[in-house]
Amino acid sequence: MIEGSGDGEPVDLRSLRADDALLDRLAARGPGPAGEQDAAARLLRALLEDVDAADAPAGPLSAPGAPRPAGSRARARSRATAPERG
Amino acid sequence: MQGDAGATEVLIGRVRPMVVRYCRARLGRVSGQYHAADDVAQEVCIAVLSALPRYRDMGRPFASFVFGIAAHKIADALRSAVRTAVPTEDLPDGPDERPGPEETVVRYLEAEQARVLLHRLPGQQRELVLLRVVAGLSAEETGNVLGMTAGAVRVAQHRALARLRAMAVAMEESGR
Repeated sequence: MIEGSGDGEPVDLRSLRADDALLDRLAARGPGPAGEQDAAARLLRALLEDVDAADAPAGPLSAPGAPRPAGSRARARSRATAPERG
Repeated sequence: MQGDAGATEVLIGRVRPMVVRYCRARLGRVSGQYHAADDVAQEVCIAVLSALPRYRDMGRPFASFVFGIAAHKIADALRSAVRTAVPTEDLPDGPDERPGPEETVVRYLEAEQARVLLHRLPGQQRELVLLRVVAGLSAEETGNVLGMTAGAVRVAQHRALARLRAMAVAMEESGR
């Protein structure tokens, strides 16, 4: 056990290291174990798959809001709402 | 870097994917698309390029310079999102080669759950989990962005994961 950062609550060193290694594996996009039991790892992996899977914008930098490449999704229209994220 | 177009291109080529994913994770989708988040990522990359001539290596990771800029741009975007119309796109014009609808929906729902739970974390914990996992920064680099020691990052991420686990279990149980 070690003392935590500021709030004084003890932290289990082994699980602290395990979580650090888990985040490293997730960041490296390493495959999870079959039937992942860790609910937090499952959700973070889903978030990663979602942000990785959508096509990244390609080509040289252009001004934000500039017309996107013609073809698949060229028509745009305005919507007045956007979800607020923290 | 100044005046070296090739080096600048290489630099942005390395930085941009991380910035895009980080902006997507922070801002989420609008009408099912990431275009608003991708536009913010573009702004971040342009701002990084603009700031490069003033950048001085002070021993801190370059990532802390980039994600410091990203954090400000995202805060600006979140402030303006509540009052500004955001352009979104209509139906696709051609064939869509992305995963099938069922797989897409499942992934989308799980990712949304992750966002909901991350949003319930204290701001600093949410930020460091996204920097560590989505942007792929080390504990040291994350600490440089957030003004924390690497040790404090490891403790805080441990607490963040514990909260996430508890909330995820509660969410699963309430959904049964």
